[in-house]
Amino acid sequence: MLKEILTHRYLALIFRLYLGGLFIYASMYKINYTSEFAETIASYQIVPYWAVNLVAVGLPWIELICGTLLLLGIRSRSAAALACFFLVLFTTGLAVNLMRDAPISCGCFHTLGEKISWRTLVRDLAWVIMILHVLFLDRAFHLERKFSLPFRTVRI
Amino acid sequence: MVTSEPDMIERSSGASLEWQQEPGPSAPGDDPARHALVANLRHELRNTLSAIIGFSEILLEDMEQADGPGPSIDLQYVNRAGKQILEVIIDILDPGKIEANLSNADFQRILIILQERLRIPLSTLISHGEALCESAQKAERQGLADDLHVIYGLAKQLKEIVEQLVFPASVASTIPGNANKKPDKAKAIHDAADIIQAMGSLSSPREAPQGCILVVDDDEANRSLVCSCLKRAGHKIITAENGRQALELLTAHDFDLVLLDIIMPEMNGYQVLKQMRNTDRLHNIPVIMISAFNEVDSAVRCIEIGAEEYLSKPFDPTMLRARVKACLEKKMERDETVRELSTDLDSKASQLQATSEKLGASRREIELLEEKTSSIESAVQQEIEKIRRVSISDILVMVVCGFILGLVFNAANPGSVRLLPQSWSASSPPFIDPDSAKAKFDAKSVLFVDARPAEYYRQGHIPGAVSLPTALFDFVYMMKFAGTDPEREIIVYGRDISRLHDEETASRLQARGHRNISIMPGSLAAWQKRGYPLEE
Amino acid sequence: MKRLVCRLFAVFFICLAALPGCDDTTAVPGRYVAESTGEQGQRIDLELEPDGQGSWTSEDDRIDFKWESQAAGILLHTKAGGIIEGNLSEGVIEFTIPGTGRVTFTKAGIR
Repeated sequence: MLKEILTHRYLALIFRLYLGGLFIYASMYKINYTSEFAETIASYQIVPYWAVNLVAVGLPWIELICGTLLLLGIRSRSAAALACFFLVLFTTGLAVNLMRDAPISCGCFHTLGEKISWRTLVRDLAWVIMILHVLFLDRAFHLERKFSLPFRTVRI
Repeated sequence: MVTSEPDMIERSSGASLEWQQEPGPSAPGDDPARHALVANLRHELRNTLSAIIGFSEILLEDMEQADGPGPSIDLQYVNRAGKQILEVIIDILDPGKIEANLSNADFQRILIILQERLRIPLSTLISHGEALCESAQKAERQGLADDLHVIYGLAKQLKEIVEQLVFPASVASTIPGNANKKPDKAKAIHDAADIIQAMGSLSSPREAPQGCILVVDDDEANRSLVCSCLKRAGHKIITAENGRQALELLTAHDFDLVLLDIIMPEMNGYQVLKQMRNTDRLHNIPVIMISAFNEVDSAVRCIEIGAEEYLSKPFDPTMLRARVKACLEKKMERDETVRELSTDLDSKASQLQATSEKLGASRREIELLEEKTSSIESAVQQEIEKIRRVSISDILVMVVCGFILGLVFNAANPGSVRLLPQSWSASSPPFIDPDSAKAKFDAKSVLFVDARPAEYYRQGHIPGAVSLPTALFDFVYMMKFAGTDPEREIIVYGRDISRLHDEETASRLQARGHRNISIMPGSLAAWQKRGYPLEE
Repeated sequence: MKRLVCRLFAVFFICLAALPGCDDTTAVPGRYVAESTGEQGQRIDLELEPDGQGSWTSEDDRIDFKWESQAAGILLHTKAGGIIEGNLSEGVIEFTIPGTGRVTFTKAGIR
């Protein structure tokens, strides 16, 4: 029963929609305040100084595209894989700075967010689990299916 | 044109021989020498007579057509006499009568009777032949004269043959294969044949199919006779002396008809005919058998083997030409039918070929379409599969599009960020090592500026250092540094892997007019490592 | 069921698009003044415009920035990537600038 609930396709759909919205919301602030996001990236002290601004310019838009594709269910597997990569990256950076005891904020949604803590890490790990669930179990409500042929073998 | 004299000759020699059989000491029917004698005698006599009769009839026909003066009466007598002699030979030298329990004495008597019965017609033949020679001298055309001489020559030779009928000496002279050839006769006949061929211009060629005909006969007279008879009809004639030569010629050339004698040395007519019918290439060539044997069995045998016609010697030249014409016409019709069938077959084959090529082209087209269909199907299937799987290309597209959008937005945004570090383009202020900085710190002659974010300043800083974070430079400078002496010596510190805070702050200070700026690149870590004092 | 979910999707998107317009900046914009601030005791004028732009002007200098209103106050976003929090209450905004201390602005026209 529990397994059925945990592997249910509607649960994957809920996670997918939530994470899609999350990514879109997170990208909005970063696109509007690129220099602040650059400072946030710099505060993690992981990205080299010559790449900080480039990442700050490109990353929010990639997040926006990823989140949109997840919401709409278009190439959702690939979008989920990319989102998983980013979440793992952020979680790893967070863990490293936690161990350094760096007095920085998460920077996920706002520059002036709360300082990083183990709660922040747990939250990020939860997101990672969700995106993995979407990656392997998502199969409901893909907009792509409305405009493509069925999954069975194509015969012209 | 028949007169009474030829009738008298006919009546005097018309009685047939009545056999008077005497008991003899032996049964002659088994004598092989006698068999050979009779057969060869019959053959020789008939061949010569056939030539005489044939030539005379040809000349009579020419004279009728030419409708001019000529020795036609003598020719008629010669013709009649020849026929009478032929009848006697047929009657007396009948194989059934000769071989029925006849003794040698009886056989000798038969030969004598033969000579006796042939005497009158033979003399008529000779006398009228002489008349022909006289006529030849008066002939206006040299060709006619030569021809008449030939007939006379043949008549004399016939007489010689009959006069030599003495057993057994006559046996030796009449067995074929004997070395006693008659070169004069052969030459005369050759000449006669050429003359007759030349005389073909006197009459117009027959309007009959013309072909290439092979004449096979061991007797030269007969060959010449047949050749002359047929050449006048416009046929091309090639001759052979025996069966083996005939087969060689048949293999090497194409013939429309074969005139074939039966009794020949080395290979007889039956053998040649059988060989022809067993050979694919020669199977369809019509064959007319010409033979001195006037027997039904022989004719039946030839027809059974595959001959078209059977003519016995002497033959009527007209009949010969008619039979040749009929055979050639039949052959032409057969050939025409074969050609039509072949043409039809060719056209059907070419239609089939064209259809086959079209089918081949269609098949190739179908294969091409199938290939394209399968490639389209696989491409579509791949795209569909992408929905269900992670695609590197999709991810790359997302990343590239994201960067492009970001760069475009940054370029259009008033609050854009520099893509490349400022330190790459601007000249950096001079560096100072921590020890020198410490000396100046001790001398209290320098202002330390901490360019790091405020959080790191709060964690620890050089005592007396002022926080001037890069992100809030303008605000903090306005509030704290506005009245600072531009000549005041300032040491800026604060860099990490992700930001060169010290260089950015130092360059902004320089932009504000401060000239005495230096950077401590080791940052607080280098200061702390030396054990210099820190403040929180 | 599918149609219902699709319609919910559409509504969600529309709401998402409308979110950025939910800021309430009508009461905050205006001109604010801080007397005797900084080490030089200078006067600073703070101009907050309704479109989110603002300026911080002293006698010698002027700094442009973007601002946004929040529940407890306002935020100033500097071009260099810094952010300054300010508490707003009854026409008075108090900023805490790291390394400098507090700066209090009073809305012009209010005594």
